[in-house]
Amino acid sequence: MKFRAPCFRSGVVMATCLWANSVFGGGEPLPFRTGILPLLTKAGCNAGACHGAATGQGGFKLSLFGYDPEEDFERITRELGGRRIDRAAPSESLLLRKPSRQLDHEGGRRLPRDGGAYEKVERWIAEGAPFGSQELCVTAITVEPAVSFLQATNTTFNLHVTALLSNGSREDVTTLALYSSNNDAIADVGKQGEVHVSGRGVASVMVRYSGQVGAARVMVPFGDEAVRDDTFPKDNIIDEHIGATLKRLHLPTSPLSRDGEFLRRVHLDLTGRLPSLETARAFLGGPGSLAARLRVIDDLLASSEFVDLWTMRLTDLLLIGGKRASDDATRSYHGWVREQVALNTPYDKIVRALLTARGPLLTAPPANFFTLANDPRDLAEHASRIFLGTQIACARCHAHPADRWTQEDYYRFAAYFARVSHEGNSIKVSSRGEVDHPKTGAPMSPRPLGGSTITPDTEADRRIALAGWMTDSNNPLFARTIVNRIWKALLGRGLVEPVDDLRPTNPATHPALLEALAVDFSTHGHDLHRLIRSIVTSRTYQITSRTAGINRLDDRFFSHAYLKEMPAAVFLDAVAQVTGIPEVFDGCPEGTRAVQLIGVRTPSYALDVLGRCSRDGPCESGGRPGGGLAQALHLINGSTLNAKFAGGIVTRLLARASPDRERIEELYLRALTRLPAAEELAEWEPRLAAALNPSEAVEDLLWTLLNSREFAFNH
Amino acid sequence: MSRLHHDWGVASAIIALALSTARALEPIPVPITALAFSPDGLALVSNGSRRVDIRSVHDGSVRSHFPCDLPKISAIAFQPRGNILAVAGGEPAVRGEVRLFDWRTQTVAQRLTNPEDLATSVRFNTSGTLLGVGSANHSASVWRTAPGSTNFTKIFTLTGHAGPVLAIAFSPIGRTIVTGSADRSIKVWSTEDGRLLRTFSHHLECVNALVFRPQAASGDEAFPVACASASDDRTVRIWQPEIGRMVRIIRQHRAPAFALVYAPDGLSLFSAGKEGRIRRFDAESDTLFYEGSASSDWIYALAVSPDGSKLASGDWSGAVLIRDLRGDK
Repeated sequence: MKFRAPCFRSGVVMATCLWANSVFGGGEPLPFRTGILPLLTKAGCNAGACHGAATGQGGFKLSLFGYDPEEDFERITRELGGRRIDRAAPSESLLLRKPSRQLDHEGGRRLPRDGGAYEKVERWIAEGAPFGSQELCVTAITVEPAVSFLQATNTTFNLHVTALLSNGSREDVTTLALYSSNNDAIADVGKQGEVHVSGRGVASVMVRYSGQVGAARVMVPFGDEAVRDDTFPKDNIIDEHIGATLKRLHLPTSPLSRDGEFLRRVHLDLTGRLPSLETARAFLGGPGSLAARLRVIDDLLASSEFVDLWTMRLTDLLLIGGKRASDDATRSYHGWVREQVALNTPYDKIVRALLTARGPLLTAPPANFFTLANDPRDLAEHASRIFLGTQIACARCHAHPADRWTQEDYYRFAAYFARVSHEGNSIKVSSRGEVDHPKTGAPMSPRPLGGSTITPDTEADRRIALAGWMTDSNNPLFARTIVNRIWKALLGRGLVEPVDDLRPTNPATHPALLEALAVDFSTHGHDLHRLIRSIVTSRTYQITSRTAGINRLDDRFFSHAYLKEMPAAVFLDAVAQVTGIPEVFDGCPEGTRAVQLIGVRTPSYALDVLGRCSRDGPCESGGRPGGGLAQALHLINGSTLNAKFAGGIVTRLLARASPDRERIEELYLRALTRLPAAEELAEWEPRLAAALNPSEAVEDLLWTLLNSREFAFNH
Repeated sequence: MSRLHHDWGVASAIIALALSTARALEPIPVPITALAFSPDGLALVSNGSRRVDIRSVHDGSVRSHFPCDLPKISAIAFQPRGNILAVAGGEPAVRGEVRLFDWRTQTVAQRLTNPEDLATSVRFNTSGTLLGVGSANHSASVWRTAPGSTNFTKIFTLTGHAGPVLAIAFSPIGRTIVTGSADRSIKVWSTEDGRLLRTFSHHLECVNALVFRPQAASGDEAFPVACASASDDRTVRIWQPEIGRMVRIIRQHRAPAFALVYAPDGLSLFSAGKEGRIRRFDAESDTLFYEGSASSDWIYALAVSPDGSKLASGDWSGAVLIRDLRGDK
């Protein structure tokens, strides 16, 4: 005879409810999930530093921020023989005596005896410590005001938080919600939701209650003076949104970049190359019109260098060629990606191909995506981060503390990858294989993140449904994620930062712009070229990096262009380009540029010290993590620069019978895409004229340029 | 013996099912964490709300009680060949105590105090001359008395666990004491001098219960001493602590196991826990004789009558259930 395992938790809850109702005459006792747990959360009992820690504290463990009410209920009422509550004498319960500091408690006084929370918990214990309705839960919270636009600092106002319960009722939970500000210098928030605004700019207040999260934005203009509306001519939808925000924030806009600044910036951003000497001279000598800029943009978008650079960007994102990959498979995968970039394949089509690929790694290149990991959970984390800009790893062990993802969400999403396996040199998909919930042990049917519908369990490849859902134009995260990444690549800062952490509590600086761009991207066939062109043709992209008055304080509203550190490969190629001596990579054909390297296993000390992306993990910073002393010393005195002075441009310049001024101008044009200023000429002309060793003097000039901040950054 | 599986509610011969929540006698039931049959088998004793309840061995209902003002009572044990009833408990995080009652008069004979925290477990050795007490303060203590005396003297404090000691048991041949802890370990100590002999770190979660197999089962002095442990890791493990060997793992549990008891003849091992189910295993082979639902809540305590005819279980809701084991044979 087989015995059916009882739904134990349900049994416990039911028994407790029955007992409580019978004893208390059918009255409505306080429910644990919505009545008691929020009190403990507010008191900090289940915070990460207290009993919410992975191993608990003092032998008492609670789920982090109460993400698992049923388990918390069991630990409080039943663990260790019910040690923590005393139903016969509720006030004698450890659950009250410890946090009220009647007994020694390392966490301090969390529930004062004369407080309402203490009374409620005491009442709940006296009522039999019931769980209450299993169905009753908080389904959403609203935060009011969602956006506060204040005209002055030193202002205080209150947030109001309302919980929407599963039974349709609403509850004011302002005093029970948890608050945190992402910028205390602008807006500090108290425990009761009181916001004190002390600085200028924009801050977000994250609000958390009963597993739900929300956010409120606080905006204070940077200056008292309104900016003139005509300081920022609006060329397209981007400029309209950016201009409107700048106007609201009283942020003046920097003027349009000079031609040299634009030319250098757009070359580096679109192709990873500096403008050639001839290009620079021609453009700087031209009419300097916006039409001329458009021609440059279109030429660059059509160039093979564009394909090289954006292939590198995409391969960095997809972590192609990390430690696990074989050389042949990496070459095949890289070639496939390059082909998609060259053909401007719609982005949704690329992602669908990646997510549904199977077969031999050499002949089915996108299948290499699944070599990122063997575990479906790891694959799910990669897929959500790369394609949805969403980090779900927290939910592997507990509900995400700053997002809505639960363990169930996590494991249901991971279930899409449960039947994928990497066998030999091939990716295979079987008709069996499940991901089990770590606590219940139950196999999880696949469900999209944030979706309500479970994918029917058939023998069909589950990933097809996943790819369809993910790339659907109704999926709010898919288009926003790639739009945000491309925005960051071109503007130096994402509309959401970090670019792989899109969530309601980390709102975009310009939510409407992000949405508008995402909609435009989706409705125009997920066309990457079009998106890139839209951005670089905007005035927002083309304004100068020089600040104008108080916009020097702005680091996120695009009132001026931000300095962008060049990716390691781009920097190394730029050095080779300026010096005229190419970098040589073992095993690669002569003339191979760093951005063209396949994978990351080609040895290059220069790339390593400059901080190339290892592709073992995310490299969203653009490939130059840190910098540090090693990098600085290497650039000052290492082989990357020193080996490129002899021969190359220095030799060619000296071989020409030209005045020193021309030599200086050429080096400035090559390195900085501008002519030297009068004071720079005044510094270098006499030096070169007086030099006993002209070669050394020119080398000094070149060294100085290559070690300058102006060279190292795309500005 | 027919070793068929029986459903608790269908095939077994339950003498009486009494959800004796004691509501008739008191308004607030307490979780039943301590159960013991008197040596003569005429009474079943359990913890009550600041008292000790004496229950019917037929239906588990409370017949009488006597006061014991410990806020929590964790464990109860009768002294073999004696008249002492040891009641372990205390005030969580404040103090622990084992109150020794003269069972005949139900009066307090001695109080064995235990600093800092609850006394979680209490057990006599087979001769009744040694008393082991596990404590939530991470230690255990061993007390000695002379035959016929009610005066106990502490002889060892066993320190070394990194968490509350939740279980303690004496080897039936008298050489060792074993303790189980929330630190997931089982430690084996010498009864001669309290020396730590060895530590078993096989369990993955708290060790909640320990029980030695009665020696009467074999009738052979050379029969290896076996001890069973129950854990939050959903296993029951069988050990030979005196030679440092884990013998078997019973994996039939789908949730933490809290309570274990051997039948007096040593042929059966009973387990119960979070699932609310009772399982009966063949003590030799770990073959599952039967399992069945006995509660909709967590079962914390099990006890077998001295003649092996009845099994009592107690759960969080305060319910005590008596099962007639004769129907299983």
